[in-house]
Amino acid sequence: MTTNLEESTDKYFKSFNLTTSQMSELKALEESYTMTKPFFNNKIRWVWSLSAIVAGLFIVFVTLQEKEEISPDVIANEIAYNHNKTLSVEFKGNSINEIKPHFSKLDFNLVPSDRNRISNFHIVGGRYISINKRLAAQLQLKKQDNKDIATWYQLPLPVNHRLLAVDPFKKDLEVYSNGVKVIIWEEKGVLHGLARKQ
Amino acid sequence: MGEKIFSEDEYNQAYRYSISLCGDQDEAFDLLQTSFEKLLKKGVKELDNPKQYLYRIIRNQFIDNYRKNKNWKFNEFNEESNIIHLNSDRFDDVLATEDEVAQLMKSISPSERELLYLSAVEGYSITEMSELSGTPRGTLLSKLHRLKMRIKKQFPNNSAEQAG
Repeated sequence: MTTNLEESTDKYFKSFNLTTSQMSELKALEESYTMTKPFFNNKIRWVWSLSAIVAGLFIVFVTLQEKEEISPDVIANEIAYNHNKTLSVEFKGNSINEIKPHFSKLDFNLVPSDRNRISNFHIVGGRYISINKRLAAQLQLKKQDNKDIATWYQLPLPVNHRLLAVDPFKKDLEVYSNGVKVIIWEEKGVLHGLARKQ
Repeated sequence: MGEKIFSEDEYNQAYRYSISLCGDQDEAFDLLQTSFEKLLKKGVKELDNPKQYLYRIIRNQFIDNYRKNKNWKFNEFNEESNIIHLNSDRFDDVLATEDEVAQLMKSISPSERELLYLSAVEGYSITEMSELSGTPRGTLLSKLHRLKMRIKKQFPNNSAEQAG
């Protein structure tokens, strides 16, 4: 049948249809992408990713800023253990000033203490020791009668630190471990520990 | 089940558009499938007019395929000097049977088939065809005029004037 070209062209093209299997293929393709399609579109995904990175960096920053927690129990146990080992001194000396030059490997300086509990003793000598995975100093103390022996520990304090479980109204912490009384306190930027048999 | 992107009618329309470019049904389906996958990868939800976008992908993909195959037959007219301002961009005054149209489709270039398809089947205006192809309106009018002349030459007894 002769009609105008547009109508004939329309009929000609409309005689072409996708077969059932071709239609199914396209629908399956569409479905596979719909199923796996991310919840967010590209722009939102970028914003989301960027926000997640910023949030991650913020968390890292905050974590780094957080004070390092020092567990006094762990330190007290190590101090008590080392006290019971009764290790011999490596460097002899009767005062902090005298003994300090031998502890050049420490990343802090040994400091004298103003606490009475230390001034009741005199220093015999000291040695390096490891407490809480840090290099520390163990000083041997004796009373005048040489009967009462104690060990005094000085540990570096982290830049940001927080001594846990310390009573806010009581600056020193007493812990009993393996028959040893350990007193822990902070003084002059150094963490101190004093161990004595009970 | 999510919302469908295209209806079956729209799939068939895109298929016919592919046929208008390829002139071959199998090749047209491959072209449609490849283009549709590209559209899906792009993310359909972001598009205002997915059908228009699919047509553009089909067209570009078709051009790419032909360039790769070094079988480039897609006539591009850039001769602004050949612009002929027609009163009508339709083919109302040419008569043809379906068989003659089938014969015609084999003898004209892909770009001419595309023009004929978009104009006669999809009812695209020159402006819409210009937007789809990125070809200036004047160039498209020139192409249509040349095509009309060729068709009239091919079917000399089928002009509406003669028939009337």
